[in-house]
Amino acid sequence: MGGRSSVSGWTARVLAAAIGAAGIVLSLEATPAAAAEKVKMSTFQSNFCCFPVYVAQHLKLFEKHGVEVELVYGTGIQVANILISGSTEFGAFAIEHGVAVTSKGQDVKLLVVTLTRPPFSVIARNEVPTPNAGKPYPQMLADLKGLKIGISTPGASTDVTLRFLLREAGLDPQKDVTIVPVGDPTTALAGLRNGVIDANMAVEPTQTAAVTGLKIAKHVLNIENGEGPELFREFAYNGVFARGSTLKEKPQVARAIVDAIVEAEQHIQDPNRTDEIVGVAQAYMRGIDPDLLRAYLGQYRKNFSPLATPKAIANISQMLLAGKLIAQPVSWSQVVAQGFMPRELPNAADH
Amino acid sequence: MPDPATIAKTPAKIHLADVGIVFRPRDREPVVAVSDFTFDVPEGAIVTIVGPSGCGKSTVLNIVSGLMRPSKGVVEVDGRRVTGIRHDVGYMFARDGMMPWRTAIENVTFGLEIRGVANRREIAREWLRRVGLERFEGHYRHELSQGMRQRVAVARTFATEPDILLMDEPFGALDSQTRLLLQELFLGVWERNKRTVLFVTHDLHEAIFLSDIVMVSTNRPGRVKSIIPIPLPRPRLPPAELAVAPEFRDIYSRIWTDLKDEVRKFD
Amino acid sequence: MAADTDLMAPDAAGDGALDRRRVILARIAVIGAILGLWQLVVAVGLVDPFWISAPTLIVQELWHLVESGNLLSDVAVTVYEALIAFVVSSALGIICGLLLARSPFWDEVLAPLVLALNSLPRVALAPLIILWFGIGVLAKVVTAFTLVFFILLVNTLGGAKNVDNDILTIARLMGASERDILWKVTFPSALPWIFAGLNLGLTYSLLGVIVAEILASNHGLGYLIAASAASFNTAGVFAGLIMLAVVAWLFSLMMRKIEARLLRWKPSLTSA
Repeated sequence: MGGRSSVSGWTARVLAAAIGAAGIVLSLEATPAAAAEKVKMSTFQSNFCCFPVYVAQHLKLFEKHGVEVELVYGTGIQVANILISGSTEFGAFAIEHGVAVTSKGQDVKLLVVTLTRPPFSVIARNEVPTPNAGKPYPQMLADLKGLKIGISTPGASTDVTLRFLLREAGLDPQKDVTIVPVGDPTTALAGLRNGVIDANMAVEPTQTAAVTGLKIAKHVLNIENGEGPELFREFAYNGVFARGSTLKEKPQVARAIVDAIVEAEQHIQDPNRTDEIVGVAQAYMRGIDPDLLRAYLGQYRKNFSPLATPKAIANISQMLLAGKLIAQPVSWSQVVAQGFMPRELPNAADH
Repeated sequence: MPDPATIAKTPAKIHLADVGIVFRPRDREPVVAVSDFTFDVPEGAIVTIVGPSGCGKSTVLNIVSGLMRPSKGVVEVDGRRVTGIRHDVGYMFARDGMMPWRTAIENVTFGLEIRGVANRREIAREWLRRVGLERFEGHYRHELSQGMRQRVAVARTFATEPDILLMDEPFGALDSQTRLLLQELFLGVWERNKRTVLFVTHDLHEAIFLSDIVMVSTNRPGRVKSIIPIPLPRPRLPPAELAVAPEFRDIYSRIWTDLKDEVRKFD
Repeated sequence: MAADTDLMAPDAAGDGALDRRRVILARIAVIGAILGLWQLVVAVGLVDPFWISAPTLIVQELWHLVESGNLLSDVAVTVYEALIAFVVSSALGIICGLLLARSPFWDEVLAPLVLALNSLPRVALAPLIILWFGIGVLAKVVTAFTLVFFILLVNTLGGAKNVDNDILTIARLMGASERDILWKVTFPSALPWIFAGLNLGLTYSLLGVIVAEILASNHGLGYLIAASAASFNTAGVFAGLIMLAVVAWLFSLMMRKIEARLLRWKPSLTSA
């Protein structure tokens, strides 16, 4: 008995070792030759302006293009600051912030646009009297006088845009209205429901949820729909930025990010993938009815497009100049990274 | 306030009978501070208790003032039992008890303020003059020397015209020269109205100089060992002169004889 | 009877004046050196003014703010809010402190609660306070209140519990009622402690108001600082901070004067 068991015991051990070694070798083989580059990207939370980022993350498009992205959430100006301070390699934020810091000498460059048209609408609670509704821009904005109007955080694009619109309507942002910071779309919606604010410089999905969904508010000026000033119609609202130094050191990573975003936007614009896209929206934008999301996508999917035109950048400059946020205009070539953004326009004429 | 016969007939202002005081500290044995203390203080007399440290002298003052209650026995003032903190008592101790946020004159007016006396500033001013501090009425405590602070305390104590004065080694913290000056000052002020005073001290010279009666207390538990009348005439000679008078030396040795046995017990 | 010697500090006026001038000159030199270094570092390009601005830029920004009238109105708003918060919180803190000192029972009962509340970083409550009280003056005052009230409560309580026992004994024997004791003995005795609390409280009033303004406001120095930061206007941030420092400094000067009057009976460190 002893002899036979010791022989079979020895065999068993050798066999186990061989299997173990084979397993290790096989797992080594399975690993790709180059490990995926890991980067961080700052972004907004639950906000449609960064929707292509959420889609790329959720559908693993970043990984498909060879990069692993960790999303770092922030609010308002923080998202831009996080990139500028060097805590992340990329940042998905309002392009007007990128233009502003570029004008102050900072080396950040726009790689790709995630949303062209500003996803804004000035909405007001149903109880608020709007006798000027239906009048041409900017007259309908007179109804905002004396109201408490919500923005996300001081200095954010909602704040800047609201002030711009108020001034166009002849109202003083400091004296004629009360501007109230109410945070992300989720908290903004809560603010509207509780009456903390009478009106809101709404960012999607707030207006869809408030006007179409809960039916507690009405549109005063629907910029997303093309109402309002001319300069919002050719615009570049939100995009992915990187520091110039990152682009020099890791251009292939930047390229991978751009490719992933472009693919995400193709998915969003594809009507056959609506269900899949609505699924992503539900995961990242809590509390919105899927039918509403479907309707929203049906109407606005074209806005999720990668290109920033020179005119768009000029319009952004114009708006910032009007608000005295920059001293002189910024050109397309100053702020857009050369060789990354897919270009369709044949003439890159001026600037 | 002279002879023993008169002492016996004059009604007692303060009367203690079989007074016992026991302290019960939390983690230790109960301490009998005073036991079977029987004693009378005649009206208008200065009576001094002398005894070794820890014999309960200060405790006796506390029960007369009503700050403390005796464990047993009777304490009476003007024939009536002491039931709570008395408001007709002037109290002085070695620390001056000056309110540092009030000037000298305001310290003296404090008691009068509480009683709502209308012309309290004039009264206070007069008392400060009597203790020699008329030029310092606007001074604060930190601007006065120890001796001056005690003088303010004297003025404050007398200003409310208390019925009884209880003094717990009031001049003990002063240097010997200042002490003599304050003793003379105190006696001079007392002469005006001759209030009843119960005085506690270690200093036999002080005791003899000031008192009509000296009471020697035993060591703990304190008991009345002996009562020694001081037949020296009033007004008394200044302390320096008094100390060398022959009558003084007799009284001194009498008191010391009784006292030294009590002090030795702790060796 | 010989008079006792006065123990007053010897007059050192002559030396004192010279010292003061040297101190002021040294101060100016130090500040000048800091500003000079700052400007130099930015001027030679060692650091981008985007990050730290520069004294010249800040002065320009300050001038711009003064011209537009914004600076004056923002400073006025912040000062107004801070003073209201300070007065209300201090008064309540002092009164509660005195009341608790009179009732050892309630003091004992409430002590752990006060300790727990005091350990909470109340600045973290600010967003909640804004939710409850809106973005007006009330939210700022409430935020500052949560900081200042406890300071005054704890300090007053400490002072009131540390009254000299001799003085209390004498006062009681003189027939002082509990009310007399509270206002004529306890309160004046606790005043140095209360003043220590007031000095701290003034600083924290300003802090509480600024924090609330930064989070949610459209007026005031906190708002000015936050809005400047949000538009990458570093000069504006520093301008706001400098004004804040000036306000804080003026507040403390004011307190020093009041203290000198009310606490003139306190012995200085040099005398007995």
